[in-house]
Amino acid sequence: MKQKIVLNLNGEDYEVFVLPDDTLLDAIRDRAGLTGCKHGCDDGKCGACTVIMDGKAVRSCLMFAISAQGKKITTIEGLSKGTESLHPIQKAFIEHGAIQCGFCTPGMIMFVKSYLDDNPQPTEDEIRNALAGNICRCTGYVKIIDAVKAAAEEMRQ
Amino acid sequence: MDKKEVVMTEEILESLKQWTEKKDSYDVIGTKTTRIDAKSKATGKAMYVEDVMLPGMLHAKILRSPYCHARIINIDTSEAEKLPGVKAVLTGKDVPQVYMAAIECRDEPLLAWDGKVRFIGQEVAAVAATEKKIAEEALSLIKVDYEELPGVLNADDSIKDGAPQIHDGILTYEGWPDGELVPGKVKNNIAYHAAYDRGDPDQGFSEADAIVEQEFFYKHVVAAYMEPDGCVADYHAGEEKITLYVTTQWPANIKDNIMRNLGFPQNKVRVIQNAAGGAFGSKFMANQLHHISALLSMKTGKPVKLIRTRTEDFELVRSRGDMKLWMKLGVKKDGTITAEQTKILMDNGAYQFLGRRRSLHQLERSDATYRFKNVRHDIKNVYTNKNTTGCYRSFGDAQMAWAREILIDMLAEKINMDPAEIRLKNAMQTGDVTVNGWHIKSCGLTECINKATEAINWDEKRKNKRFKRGVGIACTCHETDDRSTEGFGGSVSLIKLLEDGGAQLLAGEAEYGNGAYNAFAMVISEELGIPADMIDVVAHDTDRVPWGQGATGSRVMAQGVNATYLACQDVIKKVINAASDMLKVKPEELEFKRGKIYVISSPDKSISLAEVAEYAIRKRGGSMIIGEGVDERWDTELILKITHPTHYGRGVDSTYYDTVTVEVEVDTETGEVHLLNVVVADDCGKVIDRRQLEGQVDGATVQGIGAALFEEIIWDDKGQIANPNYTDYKVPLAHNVPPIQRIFVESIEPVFAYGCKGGGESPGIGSIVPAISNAIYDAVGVRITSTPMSKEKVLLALKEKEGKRI
Repeated sequence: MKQKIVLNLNGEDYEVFVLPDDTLLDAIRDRAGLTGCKHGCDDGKCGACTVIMDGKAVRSCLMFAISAQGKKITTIEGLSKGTESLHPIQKAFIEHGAIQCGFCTPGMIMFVKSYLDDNPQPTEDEIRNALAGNICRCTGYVKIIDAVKAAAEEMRQ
Repeated sequence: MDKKEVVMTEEILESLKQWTEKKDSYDVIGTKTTRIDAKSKATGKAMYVEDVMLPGMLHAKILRSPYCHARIINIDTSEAEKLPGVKAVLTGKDVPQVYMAAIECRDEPLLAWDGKVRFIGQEVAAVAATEKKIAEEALSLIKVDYEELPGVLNADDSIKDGAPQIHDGILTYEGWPDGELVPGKVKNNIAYHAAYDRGDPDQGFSEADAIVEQEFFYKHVVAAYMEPDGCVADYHAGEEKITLYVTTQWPANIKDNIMRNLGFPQNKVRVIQNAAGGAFGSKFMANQLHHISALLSMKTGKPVKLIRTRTEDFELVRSRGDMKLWMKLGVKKDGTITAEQTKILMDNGAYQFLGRRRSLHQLERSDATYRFKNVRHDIKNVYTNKNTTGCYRSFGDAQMAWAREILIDMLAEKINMDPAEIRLKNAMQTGDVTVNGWHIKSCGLTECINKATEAINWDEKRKNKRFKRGVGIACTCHETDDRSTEGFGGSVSLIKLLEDGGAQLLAGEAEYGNGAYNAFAMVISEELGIPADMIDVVAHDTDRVPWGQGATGSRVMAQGVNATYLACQDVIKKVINAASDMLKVKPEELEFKRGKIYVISSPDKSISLAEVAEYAIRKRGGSMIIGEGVDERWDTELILKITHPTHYGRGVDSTYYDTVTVEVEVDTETGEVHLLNVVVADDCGKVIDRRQLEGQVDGATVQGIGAALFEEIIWDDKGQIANPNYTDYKVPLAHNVPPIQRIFVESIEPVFAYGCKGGGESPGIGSIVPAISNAIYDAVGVRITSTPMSKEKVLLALKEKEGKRI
């Protein structure tokens, strides 16, 4: 039986009908219709479904939608205001060629946002270790690491 | 080898000269640009197949076999059909008695209508319901009675007398591709067997001063692309038309199959691909899910979404299967390889799919790496009760390189020659005809070897043995072409010139993450002087774009770029004609340069592309300027000679080469291999999109590192994959990536625009894996001959070498 819950997504309240075992990812994508975060593995390994909840990156496939009520959730759609004012991380990913197939990109960017908010001055080794929770199969991570370094510098300024 | 064959004909030399002269003159080609689809991907706006949401859409799930080999005695779907929310249930008896797409044979029935399952996970029934979870629940209500049959899980056992027979009979083509399907017998589960000599291998081995032989094993690995395969099918009952949203390398193949197998005319099947989340060879042709979602949509009259879970994708993806290779090489003291012999056993899984064609392709490509003159090949492609294999960033090249490149190191050691030197001595050269009759029109292998060894400081590092470190080398040849059909095998692009001077490209080739569309846009920018933000590459839609051959064998970069280049030239010709009409000047008195049309006699006067486009559309009877570019095969006399039983003389458009050198450090306590440095020299032809090529090289190299060190699909003794997820099947993560130095060797390929050919793929598919094995030997003196080179395997080899037990 579906029940109505309220999810705060990108600053707006969404009233959605969910099944008790709907994951947050199901609710965001299938119920609220925000398809930016991706469905890659269902077991929290690939990171494609990463969103930010109350300031921390979470894998939305690993939590139930009902337990996300009352939390402030940001998805890739909420990272920038419109498409004209891109976030520095988005800009860096675009400019450094860190995007190929792009399926990992929204989750990767949301993780990096949360990571750089907590660690504004990471070393390259720290970035490599931090990114180990997000799989990319296209880029070999090289240009993603370049983009994260550039974004960190831009965000510090 | 026929000495009389001239590869570099006058026509080819003229083309080579033209592209060589121009190679440093471009404004856009070879530069780093911002990928045209990057912004939509960075903002979450790009639409992948699972993002397609249609009104009234149902969700489908598939019931799959729990046995690796069984007969289906009965299927009872009555309880499932009663479940509220269930709209349709399909089993083999409800579907057309057709086979899935395969090359040169038919053996895989749609939804097991032949009453047999041949691997764990094979599709048996399907449900469409209003919710994914209702569909899942309905699966648990379907009762299937199976008669379990003995299974066979590796190729060695499968070919033994008395092994369980997996196929009673299959259909094969007599005189492919025009011949009829005829019943063929399968004996000892051997689906295909090719054995042939080229040259005189007996004589070759008798001339050798040293001979080495070794058995190798390459373990099944999967593409593990980020976006699981899936389809949304939308049948419109009024129009009797079906639209499929897909994620694929070859939309036209899905259209062809749905048309043929489900009985639609050409105009009633539409296949659309917006963004796609990677493929790497493993989303190649139509498969079961396209047919099943289409049938469910036809049955319910509603759109049906069918997306694999990650586990389903691991269990169903058609990737790079287990292969056992025995290889023997003979060499003279001066390093000249005199003969090669192979015996190969390929575990193809339950169905053939591409197996037949791969068997010959892998041999041909391997034989195009070095100047082999005498070869003896024996390859068996074998059915087992495992999931069907296909291709994953190569068509058997990875496995061939694994055996060949380690064996060449063993050969070098035997005659006390440096491994780089023996490769230089035998490297293929431009102008060669390979032992299989391939014409090599561009080859930068020698330069790759020289540059890759220099960059890693080869001579110094081979000598310095103070630490447990070593360097290794390997080379691979990959083919830019890989045609699967007779007849037209090129590429078509159409460019519409818009009235503001922008352009819209309709390409026959699909974009699935590889960056093809950005490369095509760069070609338009270069040739027509149109800025990137005024170019639109239309998302693939078979109702709008020309037919395409599919992204296989790195052909899109070469043939798609060539077609787009030719379309630009057609646009220029038509623009000149329209401008001549506008200005009342003869066409030959006009010149097109960087987006402007000049009167040659008064070069300060010009008109813009926008003015001409607007004139054509608004003032000249509405005839928009549309340029057509058709990349046809250069060497039509060498068109695929499939009638030759073992392909001798099959034409190849171009071949590209690479050399990888690696430096490793081995932990002798744990067996762990640390990669210190990787150098990739890629003979990719003229670079088109430098940034994307760099990314492709990085990505392929890192996938190769995964296959080398830890990736492998593991089956239990019942035929169940034990690690069908990212937790247990380890792919490289950011911290696994060593420093990678990329070197582009731009040997100009005469048959394609700019001298481009495929690139980025071959180092990772082929070279890095054996290069690591060779480096381990250089470091600690143990030869690893099976993948992956796990720390346990390396440690065991070290202990064995010391005569110790562990």
